[in-house]
Amino acid sequence: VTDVDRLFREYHDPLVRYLTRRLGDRDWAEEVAQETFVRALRQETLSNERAWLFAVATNLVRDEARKDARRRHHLELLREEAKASSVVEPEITQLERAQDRALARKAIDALTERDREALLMREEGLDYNEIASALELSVASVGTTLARARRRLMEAYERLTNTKQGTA
Amino acid sequence: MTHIDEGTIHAWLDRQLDEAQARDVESHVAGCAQCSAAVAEARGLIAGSSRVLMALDDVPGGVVPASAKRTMPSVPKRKWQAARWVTSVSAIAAALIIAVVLRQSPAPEVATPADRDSRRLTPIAAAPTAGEQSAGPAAPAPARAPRASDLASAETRQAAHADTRLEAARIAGAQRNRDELSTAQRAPSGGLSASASGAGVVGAVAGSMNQARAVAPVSPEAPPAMADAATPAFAEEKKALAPVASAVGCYAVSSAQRRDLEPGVTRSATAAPLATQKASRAAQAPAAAADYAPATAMIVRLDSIRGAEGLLARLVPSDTVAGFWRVDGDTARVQLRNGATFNIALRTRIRCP
Repeated sequence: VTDVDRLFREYHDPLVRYLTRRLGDRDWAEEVAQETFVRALRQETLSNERAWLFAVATNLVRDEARKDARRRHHLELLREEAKASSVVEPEITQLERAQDRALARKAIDALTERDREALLMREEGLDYNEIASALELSVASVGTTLARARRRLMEAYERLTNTKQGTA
Repeated sequence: MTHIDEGTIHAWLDRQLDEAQARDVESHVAGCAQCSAAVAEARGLIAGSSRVLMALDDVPGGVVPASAKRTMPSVPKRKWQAARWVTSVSAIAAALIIAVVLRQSPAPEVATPADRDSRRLTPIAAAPTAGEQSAGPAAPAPARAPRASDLASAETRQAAHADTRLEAARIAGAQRNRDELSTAQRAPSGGLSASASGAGVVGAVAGSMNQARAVAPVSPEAPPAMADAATPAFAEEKKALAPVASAVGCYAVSSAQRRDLEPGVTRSATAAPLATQKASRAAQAPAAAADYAPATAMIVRLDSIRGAEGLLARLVPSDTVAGFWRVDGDTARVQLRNGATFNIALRTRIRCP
């Protein structure tokens, strides 16, 4: 690929957002995104570039994301970080946001990998064909996958929210 | 008519059905209370999911400690090692240094302190399997994605890959750290070369008088003293250079060349706010000169290594692109986006930071 500049301009931000949501760490997301663009650079041509980039990025994080210990570690660190950085904002806002984030993280982690990836890709504007290509699904099953992912996400989120309120 | 399944409803709301299908769904929903309710629920799920996911964006960098990230299985270790900067000489204490990265030939396997630092930067976990292609263990395999080009040798790709990773991580670090690190702080202490990040630390440049030091305040795992060991001794490049695209490495340049290079230095760009970077990126014109054909031209990045004393140019697939270059015989011909052109004799290669 020779127009890496353009590729980067068009897809860097959505890719990093996708990865940040996926990984819970922006630095790490940047790293994976850069790695993805490096690989794009080595390609002669990319016919379906957005799907390709998201597929590469997804594959790069997949193995790691399977490690539950790592994910639990994320959550612990997120909580620590939320506690530690309550200086700039009013404490209550900061805390609420941190709690929101932690709940969202838990909820998204409750999905299966495929559901989670499909949902996050859709949120970045990939169409069903692109999602199908990136995740090696049939196009016809993307709607079902997304429906299930959204339902489970919201169910998990509400369950977690209720639990939080119950303990508060 | 049977009711519309949930997947189709979501596809419809996502505007992913073709016209005829969409019409069918629409007319059915209009006359079916059950499906109408399902659509309403689906709308709620879609909106709710988006809202929940947005909460995930509020995530600071550096959440995952470097030690954890180091296990990211992106590049097999063997490949990374193969991508070592080529060692070479020259006693270049206060000389200008230009590190130029191209798609490149494999570097000799010589373990050095700088190499060790490099390994810190590029986290590797998955054990590589022999004979892997460039795609690596986490290789993409989307059904319709093109496969890696096999024109270049695997080693060439690995080399380019690894160096670019260095740069990529460095850029990320510089951007992240821009709030914490002023340019003034950065320049005297090794600047780019030592800018550490959550992702790691890029080995620093150092002449015999220059001490490479890590600057990064962000990562608890990258204490400032970390890179002190990475004070490379410049050693002369012995091996003959391949004529094409074989210039991964660092080069000493004359003071005359330095004048040409300086306008291309992007240190200020990496220190600038993101908005400024984006603006300058948008303003960049595409590379012009025809003889800098895309097939052989590589993107060049120039950075100040140590204030006025050094410059670094590296392949980078991103913003702050300073220009392009190609290898012509034993010379790298560089054209910066500001119009400046100059040549670098490849035999002036020196040990890279």
